[in-house]
Amino acid sequence: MGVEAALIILRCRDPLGDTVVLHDHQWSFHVLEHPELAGQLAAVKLAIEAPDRIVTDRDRADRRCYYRAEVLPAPYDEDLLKVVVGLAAGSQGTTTGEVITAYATPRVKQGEAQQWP
Amino acid sequence: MAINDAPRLAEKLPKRLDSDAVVIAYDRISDTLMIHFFGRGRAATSVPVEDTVDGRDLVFARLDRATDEVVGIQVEEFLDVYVKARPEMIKLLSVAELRGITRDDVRLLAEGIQAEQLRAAMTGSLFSDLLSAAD
Repeated sequence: MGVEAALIILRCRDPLGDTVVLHDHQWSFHVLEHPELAGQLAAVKLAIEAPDRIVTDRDRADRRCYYRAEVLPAPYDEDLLKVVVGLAAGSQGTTTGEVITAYATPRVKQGEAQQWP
Repeated sequence: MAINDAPRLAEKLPKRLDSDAVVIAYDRISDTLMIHFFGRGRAATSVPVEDTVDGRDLVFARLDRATDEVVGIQVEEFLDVYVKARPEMIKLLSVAELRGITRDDVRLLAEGIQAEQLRAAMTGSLFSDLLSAAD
């Protein structure tokens, strides 16, 4: 296992067939600026693997956002979990994503373009 | 909670802030500025507020649903979009904990913004003078 692989704490595949990873440094140093996400790695994985919708960022074509309802514990169970992923072209025409932030929010952000379903 | 609920968020703001408890943090990777009114550790949901730029949701109130209190502010696309519309906000980075960007980077950015503001102001002033002279 290489150094980079050791730093990956989540690897999953989204409904578009792309691989998404989460590095421990981004989880520890930024995502957990949102304490509602503490202990919710499984919810993040679910939001990526089985989102309610996937949208493209309004200004950044290289960013994709995943929204999933009813995955966070109370009192955030009526909020959406939003996971923002930065995209990079991989080898052989594949796309790899990296989680850059995640948080609870009551609604989809204005201006985002639905990509899936 | 929709965007028109922003006025109600004002009622949920803390009555006073202890400046020693406030934590400001900026992450360049996500381009997000976080202001924690009561230090880190308060779970919250990020509610878009009406202070948007060109119809974008960039500013979010962090609402603690357990106490129904706003415990912080989240600004997305801080350097890439928000500061271009609100240049004075670059100063927040001088007191923020930084990740993925250095103090020198921030200083250069602030100098660049100041130079651009000065250039725009001077150009506007000279143009006005020319228009007045032409009258």
